[in-house]
Amino acid sequence: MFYTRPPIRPKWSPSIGYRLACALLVLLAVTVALVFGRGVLAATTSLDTLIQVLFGDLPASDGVDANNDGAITVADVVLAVPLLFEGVVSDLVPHAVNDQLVYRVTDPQGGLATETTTAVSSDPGGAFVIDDEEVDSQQQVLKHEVQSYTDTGTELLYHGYTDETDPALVSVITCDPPLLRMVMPLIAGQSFSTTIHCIITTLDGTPIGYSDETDVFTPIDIVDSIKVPLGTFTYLVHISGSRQVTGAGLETHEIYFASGVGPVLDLMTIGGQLTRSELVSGTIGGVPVVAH
Amino acid sequence: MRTVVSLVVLVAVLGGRAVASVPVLNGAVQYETFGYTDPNRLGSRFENFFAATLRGHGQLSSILTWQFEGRAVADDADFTAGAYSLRNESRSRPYLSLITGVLDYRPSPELRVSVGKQIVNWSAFDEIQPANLMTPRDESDVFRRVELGIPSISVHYGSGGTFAELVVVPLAFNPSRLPQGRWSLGTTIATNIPSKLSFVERQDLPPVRLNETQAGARVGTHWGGLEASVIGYVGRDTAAEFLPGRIIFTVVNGRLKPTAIQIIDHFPLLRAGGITGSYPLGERWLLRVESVYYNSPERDRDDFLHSVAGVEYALDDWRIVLNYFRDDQTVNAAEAVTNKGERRFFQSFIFGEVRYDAGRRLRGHLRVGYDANGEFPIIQPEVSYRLWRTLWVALFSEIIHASRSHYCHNKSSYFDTIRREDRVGTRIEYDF
Repeated sequence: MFYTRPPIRPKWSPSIGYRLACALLVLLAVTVALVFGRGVLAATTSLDTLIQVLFGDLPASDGVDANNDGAITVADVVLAVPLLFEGVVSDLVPHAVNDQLVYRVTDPQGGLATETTTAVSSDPGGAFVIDDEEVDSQQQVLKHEVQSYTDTGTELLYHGYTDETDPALVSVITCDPPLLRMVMPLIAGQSFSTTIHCIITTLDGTPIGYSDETDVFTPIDIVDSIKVPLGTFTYLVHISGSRQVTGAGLETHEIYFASGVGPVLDLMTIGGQLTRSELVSGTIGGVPVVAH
Repeated sequence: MRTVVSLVVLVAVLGGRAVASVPVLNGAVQYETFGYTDPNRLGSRFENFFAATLRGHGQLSSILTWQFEGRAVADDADFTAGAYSLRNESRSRPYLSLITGVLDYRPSPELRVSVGKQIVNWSAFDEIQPANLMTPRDESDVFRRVELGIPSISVHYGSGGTFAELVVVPLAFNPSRLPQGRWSLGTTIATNIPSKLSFVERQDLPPVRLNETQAGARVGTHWGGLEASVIGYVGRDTAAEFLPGRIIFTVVNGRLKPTAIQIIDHFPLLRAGGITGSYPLGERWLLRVESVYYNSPERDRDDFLHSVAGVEYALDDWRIVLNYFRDDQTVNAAEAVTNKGERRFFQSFIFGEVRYDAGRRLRGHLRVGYDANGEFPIIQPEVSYRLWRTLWVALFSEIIHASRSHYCHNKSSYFDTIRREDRVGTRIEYDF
C-alpha cells in the first residue's frame, strides 16, 4: 500500500486558449495550497467551490467533460494534460514513522478482514519499513509482513519483506532487482515496469524457493470522488497495476490515491474474483486522516 | 538380448579353451520387523520388511565369466513400488532390482575387462566412505543401505604389485535413492519452512546424453604390506544436494499467494581426487586412511576435503574398529542451497565397532558413532543366534539422538529430525 498526497499541477493543455488560462489558474491555486502545506491541502474542502468558480462559465461543449461524469471539474482539466503529479516520491508517499492506515478488506466471498499498515522506521537515506498486518474478524493473523522500501526521491523501490505470519518460522523474501512501484513525475499512460527475481530464505539465510514476476504500473487519470468507509475523497490519482507471477495467474489492481493520505481504495482482481481494500481510518504526521 | 547372447557365444568360441562350467547360485532371505518406541516418531509404530537375494556366478570359458546379484524386497512402510527402476529415477524402490550383472573377460592374467552392472567402490572403510565416488546406494531405509551396481565398462590391469583401473559409465547417470518416509531428508527441510507453505520434492535426473558420461580411475601399488592408491573421478555426485525451486502460487480467496515450495534433488557435477591406503601392523592391527577432495564447477556446491583414518584390531573372535572422519570445507559456494545433503552430514565424526563372531551359535556387534560438531550419537547393537544351520535370528536396535538442531556447514541437523525414530527389531534370515 502507498501513502499519497497528490498536489495536482497541470502544466500544459493542447486545447484552446481560455482553457489553458483556466488550467494555469488551477496550477496557481494548487501551488498556493502546497505552499501552505499538507494540512492546508488536506483540509481544502473549498477546492470544489474554486473549481466551480473557475469552470462554471465554461460552455458545455464536447470534450470538456473529459471523464464523462456529467460535471466539469478539475479532473476534466487534468485529464486533458498527461502530467498527473509532479514532485518527489515523499510528496505522494509520505512515510514518516508511525504514519498508519487501516483498511477494510472484503474478499470475493464477502469475508471481512482488517489490514493495518504502519511506517515503523525511516532513515535519511530514503530507506523505510512498513509493517503490514492483516487480521480476520476473530483477530486471527492472516498476514504479517515487514516490507522494505527505498525512496530515492524520483523512484519508490520495493525490496521485499520479512514474513512474520508464523512467528516461529519467519521467512525473508528478497527481490533483485527491486520492484519499481512509483516513478516521478506521474504521467498518464506512461507505464513503468520491472521484472524481478525474488528469493525466499529462512532467517538464517537458507534459500527455500524463488519466484519471478513482472509488475507493470500505469498512471491512468484523476478521479473526481470515491466513497470509502472513512468518507468521500475527491480528486484521486488512479494508477492501474498488474502483477504476472511466472507459472501463476495475473493479478490486476486499480488503486486510487487521495491527497495527503495515500491509497484509499485498491480493487484487486484475479481470475474474475474481486478483493476490495478500503480505507477505514488512519494517522498521517500524527493527525487523524479525514476525508476530503 | 539375442545380440548379447551371440556375442557371449562368439567370445567363448574365440576363447576356445574351456567349456562353460555349471553356474553357482546362492542367496539369502530375510524378514525383519521393527518397533518404534517413541510416541512422537514420524511414521507408524511397527514396520515389516522382507528381502530375498539371489547371487550367481559361472564360467563361460576360461577367459569369460559372469556374475549377478538380484534382489526382491517388500515392506509395509510404503517404501516399495513398481516392478523395476531403470536409473533409480523413482523415489520408491522397486520390488525387483538387479544389483549387479557383469561379464568379465580376462584375455590375460593381468587384464580384466568387465561389462555390465557392477559395484565400483574404492573405499577401504565400512560405513563412511569418501573414496566411494561412483556406486549409488538405495537408502530408502537409511540404516539399511544397499549398494547398487552401475552400468559401466571397466578395465583392470595388474602386474607385479601395481594395478590400474579405469571405469566408464556411458551416457547415463545413476543417482542414489534418497531416504524415504520417516527417514526423508525433506522432513528436515520442511521443519524450516513457514507452516502455511506445503512442500514438494522433485528429482532433477540428468538426461541421457554423451556429456553425462562419467569416468573414474585408480592407480595403486602394493609395497610390502602397504596398499596405496590414487583415485580420480569426473561425473556427478551420487548423493543429492537440495536446491530451492520455483515457489508454487495459488489463488486463495481471491488473492495470489505462495502455497508450496519445491525442493529440487540435485546431483551436482563432481570432480574428485584422493588417496587410499592400508597397512597391517603385525597380524592383529590394520591401519587405514583415505582422503578425497571434492570439487564442483557448479555455483551452489562448496569444495571440501573428506578424510578418514582408522585402526582395526583383531583378537581371536573379536574385532575392534575405531575411525575418525572429518569434513573440511575449503571453498564456499557462490550460492547457498537449501540443504547440502547426506554428503555433508558428518563433520567431525568418530565411529567404531566391536564385533564378536566365534563361528558358533552366538555372534554380535555394537556400532557407535558420534559427531562432535553436530553433537549426534548413533548406537547400533545387534545380537544373533543360529537356530539351525544357516538360519539365524537376530535382535537389534538403532538409537539416534541429537543435541543440536543446527550445526556448522549443514545448518539444519538431519539427526535432530530423526532422533525420535529409535527402534528395536528382530530379524530372521536364512542363507542358502
